Amino acid sequence: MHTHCFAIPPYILEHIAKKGTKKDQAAALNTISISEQTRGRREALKHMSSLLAVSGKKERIIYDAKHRRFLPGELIMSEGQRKAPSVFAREAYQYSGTTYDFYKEIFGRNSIDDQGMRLDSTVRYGYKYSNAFWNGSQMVYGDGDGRIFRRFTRAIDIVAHELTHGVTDFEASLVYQDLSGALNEHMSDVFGSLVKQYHKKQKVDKADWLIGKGMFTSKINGDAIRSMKAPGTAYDDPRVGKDPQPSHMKDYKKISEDNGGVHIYSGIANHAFYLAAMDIGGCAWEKIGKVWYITLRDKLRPTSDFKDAAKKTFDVSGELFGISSTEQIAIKRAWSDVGVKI
Amino acid sequence: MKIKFERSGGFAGITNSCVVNSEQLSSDEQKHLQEFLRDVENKKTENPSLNSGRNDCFQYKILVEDGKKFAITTDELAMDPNLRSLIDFLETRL
Repeated sequence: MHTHCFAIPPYILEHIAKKGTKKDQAAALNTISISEQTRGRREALKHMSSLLAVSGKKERIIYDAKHRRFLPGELIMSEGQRKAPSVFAREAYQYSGTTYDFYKEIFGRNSIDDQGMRLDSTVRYGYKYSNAFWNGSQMVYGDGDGRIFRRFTRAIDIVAHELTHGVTDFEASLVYQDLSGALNEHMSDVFGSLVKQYHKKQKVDKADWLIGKGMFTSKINGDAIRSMKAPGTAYDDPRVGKDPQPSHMKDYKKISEDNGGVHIYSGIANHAFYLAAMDIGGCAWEKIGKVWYITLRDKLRPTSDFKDAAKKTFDVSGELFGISSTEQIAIKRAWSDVGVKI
Repeated sequence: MKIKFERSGGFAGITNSCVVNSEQLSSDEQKHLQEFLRDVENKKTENPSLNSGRNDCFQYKILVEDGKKFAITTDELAMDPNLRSLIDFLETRL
């Protein structure tokens, strides 16, 4: 089935999505995803998730794009399969499973949509493709070019970052532009980092607070792609430039690239989260992680910005831990330290 | 003819750009470039600016200066398929 064909009536696509082979199901869902983009995105996602619901069981599917750009690619691994056909498949499978377990065990969330949505990943997308993305219904990973970037499945926080984009789509649905987009990116970095810390059973003082550690090849002067602890210090190399992330609102200005700097200004909120987590201590997913999750799930709206996030995380921490609790004070101070007043 | 090309976004959020001067290309490359641009120009009035709003996609800006100017802003999921070859070509120059 051609993945971009819109000539097939929706009811046939839906039938294929429900009753077809796994390969045809995925192709039909991809087509529905693209054709639904012009309609209500959130409604479309809810509609699609009902087609993928598997009633509370973890279910993962891995496809191989074989260096082409067609999604989802060839089915190469399914839930329960013991032997992975490649390192790419093994990593995508394991890390998406850890992310599923994290959301379920820590927050009681049943997959991306909280309704048991199947976790679909495509590996080896494109030729020397140095990126990973969430396309609205699945995760997609490139191998990297081997010159600057390594494969994008190798970092658990990248996998969790992409899955969290799915969670955000189903909850706050933050618009991917300017500050709401930076908040969207921030949420993915936060839960990417928390999944990594949970996986390693690390308390805040042992965590590296890096995003995408080891993603650069040895030829590049860079530890990681971003640093929540010290935004702007993750890399500095003539081939990729210097990490542009600021850690304070005084450095914010409206720009056109990167959808208004969504991966740049996320550093400000990332740093606020780091400061508050360090102040609160312990395992970050237990207290501050819960505050951020409830805020994302229940409080933020599509156009929310950092000021809204600061106010809502302050409110939620008051509800969870008490007004003027040490947690609430830490959160207020952290946002203030990055220039966001509550 | 000059083409200014910028790629931004992606998971890493790194912006790369280049300027391609067609006079400095080999005759084969010039021929390919002309073919790509002919495809794009034929399509350019349909919808030069498209953005899927999808997370972590690459975003592209292309400014062609060839007597007259035209600009295209798109991302990798929203782009017209006719642009793919041109963008593949330009990405090798980054």
